Amino acid sequence: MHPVLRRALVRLFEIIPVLWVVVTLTFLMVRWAPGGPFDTERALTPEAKKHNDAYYGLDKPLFVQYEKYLSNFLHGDLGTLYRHPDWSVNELLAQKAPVSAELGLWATLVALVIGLGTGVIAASRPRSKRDYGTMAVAMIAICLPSFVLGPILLLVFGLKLQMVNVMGWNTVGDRVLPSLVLGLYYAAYIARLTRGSMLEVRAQDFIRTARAKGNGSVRILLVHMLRNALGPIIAYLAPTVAGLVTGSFVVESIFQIPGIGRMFVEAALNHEDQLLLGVTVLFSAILLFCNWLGDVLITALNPKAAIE
Amino acid sequence: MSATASNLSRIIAAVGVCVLALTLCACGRRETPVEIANREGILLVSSGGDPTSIDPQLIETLNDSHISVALFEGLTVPDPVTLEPRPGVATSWEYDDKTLTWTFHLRPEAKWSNGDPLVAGDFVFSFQRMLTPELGADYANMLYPIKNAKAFNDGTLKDFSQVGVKAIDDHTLQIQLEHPTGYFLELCYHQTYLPVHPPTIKKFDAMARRDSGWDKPESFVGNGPFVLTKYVLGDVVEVKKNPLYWNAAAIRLNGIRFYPIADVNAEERAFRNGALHITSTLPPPRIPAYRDTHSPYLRVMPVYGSYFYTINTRKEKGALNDPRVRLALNMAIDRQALVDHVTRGGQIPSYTMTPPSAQYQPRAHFTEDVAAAQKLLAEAGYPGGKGIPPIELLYNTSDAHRAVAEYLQAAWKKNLGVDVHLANTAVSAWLDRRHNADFDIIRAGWYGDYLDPSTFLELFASDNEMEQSGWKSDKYDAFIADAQKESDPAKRMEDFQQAEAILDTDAPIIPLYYYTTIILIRPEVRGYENNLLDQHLYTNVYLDPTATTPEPQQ
Amino acid sequence: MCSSPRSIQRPPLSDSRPLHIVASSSLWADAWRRYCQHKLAVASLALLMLMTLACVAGVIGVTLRTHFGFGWPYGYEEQNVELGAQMSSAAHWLGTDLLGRDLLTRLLVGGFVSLTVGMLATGMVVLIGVTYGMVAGYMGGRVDRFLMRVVDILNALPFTIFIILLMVVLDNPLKSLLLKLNLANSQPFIKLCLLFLAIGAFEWLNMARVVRARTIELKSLAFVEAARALGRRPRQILWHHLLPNLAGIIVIYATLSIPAVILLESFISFLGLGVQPPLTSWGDLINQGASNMELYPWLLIYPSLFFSLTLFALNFVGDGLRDALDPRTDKGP
Repeated sequence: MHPVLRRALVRLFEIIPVLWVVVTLTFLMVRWAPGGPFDTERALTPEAKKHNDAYYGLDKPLFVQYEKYLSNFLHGDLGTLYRHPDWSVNELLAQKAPVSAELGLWATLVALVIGLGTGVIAASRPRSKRDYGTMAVAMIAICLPSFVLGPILLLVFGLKLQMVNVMGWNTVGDRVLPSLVLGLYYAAYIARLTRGSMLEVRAQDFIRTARAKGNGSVRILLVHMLRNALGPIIAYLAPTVAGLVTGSFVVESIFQIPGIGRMFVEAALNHEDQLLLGVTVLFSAILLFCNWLGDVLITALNPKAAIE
Repeated sequence: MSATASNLSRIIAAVGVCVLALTLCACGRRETPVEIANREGILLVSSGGDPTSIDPQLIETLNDSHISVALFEGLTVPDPVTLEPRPGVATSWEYDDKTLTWTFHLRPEAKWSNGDPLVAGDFVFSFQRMLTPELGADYANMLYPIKNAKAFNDGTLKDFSQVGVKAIDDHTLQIQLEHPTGYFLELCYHQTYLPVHPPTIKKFDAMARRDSGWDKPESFVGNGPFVLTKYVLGDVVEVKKNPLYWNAAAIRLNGIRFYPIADVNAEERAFRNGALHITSTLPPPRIPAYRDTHSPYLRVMPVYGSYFYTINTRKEKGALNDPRVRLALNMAIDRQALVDHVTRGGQIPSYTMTPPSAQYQPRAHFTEDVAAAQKLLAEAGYPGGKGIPPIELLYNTSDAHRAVAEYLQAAWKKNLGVDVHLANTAVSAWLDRRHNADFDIIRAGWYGDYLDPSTFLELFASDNEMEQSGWKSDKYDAFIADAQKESDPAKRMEDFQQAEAILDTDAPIIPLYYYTTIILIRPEVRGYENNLLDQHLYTNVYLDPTATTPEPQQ
Repeated sequence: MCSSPRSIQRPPLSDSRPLHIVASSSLWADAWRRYCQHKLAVASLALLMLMTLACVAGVIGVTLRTHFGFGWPYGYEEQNVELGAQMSSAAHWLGTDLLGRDLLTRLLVGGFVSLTVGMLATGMVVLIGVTYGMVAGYMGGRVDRFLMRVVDILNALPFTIFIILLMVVLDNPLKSLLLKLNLANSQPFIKLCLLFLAIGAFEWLNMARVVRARTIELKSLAFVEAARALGRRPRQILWHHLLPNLAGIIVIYATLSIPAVILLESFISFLGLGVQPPLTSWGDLINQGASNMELYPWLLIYPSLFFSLTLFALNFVGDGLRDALDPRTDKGP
C-alpha cells in the first residue's frame, strides 16, 4: 500500500481512542458541574428528588454511572432527557442534526465561495485599491457579528420589506438569510487567510519560475498560488466546518431554526447532561473526521513534507 | 494579469448579487403565516420556550400549562375573566359544612379522544399517578390538601385506598380533604388535577416512568377541546379540534400552534412579521414604543405574581443577619422609579410578598424613606454603610434581571453607601446556589398557583424547602398553621395579614413589584382573556379576520 | 500521487536565499523605514494609539472622579433613570443608555476592558498556539500526531461547561481568599484574569493548527533543508528560519483573533465569568445595542463604530508590520 494512504488509514483509526477520551472527559465535566438536573425553581421534595435520581441512576457512584453510560453508548443508546422526559437523545439528534447540517453546509458554501473569491481577488494585486477595497469589506463582515447582522437583515427583509419569514425552516426563502449570516463571518476569515497565504507563496521561487516559463497569470494565480496557499486555509476550515454543521446557537436562536446549536447551549445551561454528551459525541466525531480529511488533503497537496 | 483578474472579480460580484436578489425576490411579498392561519382558523401563539412535557403530571411551568389546558379538562374550569370555578368534566358538586368532603357529579357524555367514556375512576387513577413517589412529579404537593396525599407521596403510606379519593360510581367522585380548603374548586382546574387516560398510561408502563413518551401525537389520548397532532421540541406543538369533546360544537378554532420562542426579541420580530397572533411577553425596552403610540396590539394586565429578592439571613452572613440592615435595604429603594423607568411594564410597586386579589388586600408595613433607612443602618452599627463587606447580588442571566439589579446596586450605593457586587450565572448554577444557600442576596419571583395568599406565604414557613433565606419565625409558622385549619374566610385572611406583617418587617425578602402580563395580540383574536392566574381557555377564542381594532377589555 | 509544481520546479539549493541570518540593528531600522512608507499603516497606527490613549484617559478620569470627585463629567456606572436613553446632546456627546448612563464614558471604559482582554488573550493565543503549532509541524511523526490529538480533544470538549466549571473551581475560593485579604473590591479584576485563562485555553487551538500546516509546508522548502544540511539545531531552525516565514500568517491570525476574543468575552460574561455589570466592555455594549437597535440605534452604532475602527486600524497595522518585517515580500506590480 502507498505509505501516504496507509498513514491516512491509521490516522482514521486513531479517531476511536480520541473519541473515547472526549466522552470520558465530557462525562466527568458534566458530572462535576454545579447543580443537578432536578434542581428546579420549585424545589422538589427530597423524596421526589431521590426517586428521580434513582430512576436515572444518578445516585450511583460516578464510576458505575460512567460504565453504564459507556455500555449504553456502545449499544447506540444515548439516553433520555431529564427536563424534557418525553424525548430521547437519539430521537432529538435524528430530528435536529439534519437541519443544522443543512444550514452548516450552506454556510460553508457561502464562506468558501465568497472567502476564497475575495481572497484571490485581493491577492491578485496586493496594495491596490482592489486589495484594500475587498479587504475592507471582509473586515466589515468580521466587525458585524451574527447577533448584529442577523437582526439587521431581518429588520430590513422581514419587517420593512416583509419579504421573508423571520422564523422557521420550512421554505427555500427561509434558508437564505441564516446561511448568509452564518457564512459571511467565516468568509471574511477565509478571505484574510487566503490573501495572506497567497502573498507568502507569491514570493516563493517556484512562482517566479512559473512566471518565467510564461504561464498565464490566471493560471499562476489559481493553480500555483492558490493550490500552494491552501494548507493554512484547510487547517482553519476543517474544525470550522465541523462547528458549522453541528449548529450555531446564535443564528438558530435569531432565526428560530430547530437545530442542535440552540439545544446544545440550553443543555449546557440546564444540566441536560445526556443531550450534552450526545451532541458532544456527534460534534467530536465530525470534528475528528474533518481534521482527518484536512490532514489528508494537506498531505496530498504536499506529499514530500508528510513522508519525512 | 490585472485585466483577467478584474473580470474575474466582476463576474464573482455579479453572480453573488444575482443569486441574492433572485432568491429574495422569489419569496416576494408573501401571504403571511397569520393571514393563512386566519383563513384556516388556526391560532398562532408563542409559548415562550419548550414545554417540559405535555403530560399534565410532569409539567412544571406556567407556560407548560398553557398547552395542557388545550388538551385536557379538569373537574372544573376557570371563568376566563373572574377565574371562578365553572363546570368542566363535573356538572355539579356538593360539600359538607366543614368543606371537608366533596362530591363531584361527572357529565355522562364526557369522552376521551379515542372514544372511551371518561369515568370517575380515571380521576382516581390520575391522582394516584401524580402522588406515586417513584414518578417524582415536581408539583405533587399541589394535591396535598387531599386526605393522606402527602403520606402516600412521601412513601410512608403504601395503600392508595386510604387516600381521600374515591369513585362512588362511574359518574360520582368523592374527595376527602385533610383540612378545610376554601379554594379547593379552584385547585380542581389547576393542571395538576387534570386526568390522564389509564389504558394509555398502562400500555406505556408510565405509572411511575417519566420517559415513557406516551404523550406523542401517535399515541396521545386526552379529554380536552383539542388533541395533539404535532410535537417537535424547539419547533412547534400543534393541536387540532377534538371532535369527541363533549362541547365540540362550541369550539370555534380549528387548531392552535404553539411556538417555543425563547428569545424575546425574536418573538417580537415574529409578531411584526405576521407569524404570530399572540406573544408570550414583550422585552421591557420596547414597551414604551408600543404604549406611547397607543398600539392596538399591546395588552398589559396585572397577574398574581411577585418579583422579589431573597436575603440570606444566616448568621455567617454578618450584617444581613440583622433585620435592621435588611429593612434598611428595603426602605432605601424607589420602587416607583424602578417600575417606571427600568421594568416599564406597568408593574405595581410592591411592599409585601402577596399581591392583591379580591379576597386579600395586603397592607404595607414600611415606607420608602432614605433618611430613616440610613438611621436604621447606623443603629445596626454600620453608619454610612461602613463595616459591611461587599454584598453579592446573584441573578440568572437576562437583560431584564440585569437592569433591575444594576438599578438597585446604584441605589444602595448612593442612598446607604453599601457596596453591592452583581453576579450572574446560568439558570442551573443559579438554582444550585439557591438550594445550597450559597448567596447573599438572590433574585427570585413567584407566580401564584391559585388565588389564595397561602400560595405565597407558605413559601416562608419553616418546613418549606423552596426559600433558602434561612429565616424562621415560630410566630409566623403559627399564623400559617392557623390559617390552614381556619374555615372562616375572614379570620383566615386576618391570619395571613398577621403573618405578612412579620415577614415584611423582619424582611428576609425585598419585595420589588407585582408582575404584569405584557403581551402583543392581534385584533382578529377574539375571546382571549387575560386574568390574574394567566390561565387561558381556548374554548371561547375565535378568529375574526375582518376585525381591525382590539376588543374592549373588561 | 501527483507531485506539486514545487517539487518539479524547485530551483537548485544554492539559489535559495536564507533569510534573517542575523538580526542586526539595521534590520529593525529597515523594518521601521519600510513601515513608514506604508501610509495606511502609519495612519492606522496613529488611530490605534489615539483610541488606546482615549480609553486610558477615560479610565483615569473615571477613577479620579470616583475617588476625588473631579476629572470626568460622568461615571460609567452613574445612572439617571429619569433621563433614560437619549440621543447625542451637548451634555452627552454620544447619548445615554437605557439607565441614563453616559455612553461615551461607558465606551471608553469598555474599550479599555476589551482592548486589554483582546490584547492579553491574543498574546496568550499567539504564544501557546505558535509554539505548539511549530513544534508539532516541525517534529512531525508521533510527536505531531500526539500533539494534534490533544488539540482535537480540547476542541471537542464543550466550552460552555468548561467555563461553568472554571467559575466553580476558581471563583468561590478566590472570593473567600480576597475577603480574607481585605481585597474584596478587586474582585472584578480577578474575574477578568479568569477570563483570559478561559479564552486563552481554547482560542489557541486554531492558531496551532494553522501554524502547524504552514510549518509542514515550509520545512520541505530549500532554505530549511539547507539550514539542516548546515547542521543547525532544531531550535535555531525554528527560531531563525521558520518563525520569520510564519510571521505573515501569525500576524493575520492574531489580528483576526482579537475581534473574536472581544466578542467571545460577552458570551463568557453571559455565563457569569468575566466582566460584571455595571462594568462593561465593547462586546457587552454591542450585544445590548443589538437587542435595542430599532428604538435606540445609537446604542448599537457608536459601539460598533469604535469596535470597527479599532479593528480596521489593527488590521492595517498588522499588514504593515508583516510587510515591514518580511524583507522578501515583493512590492507587487
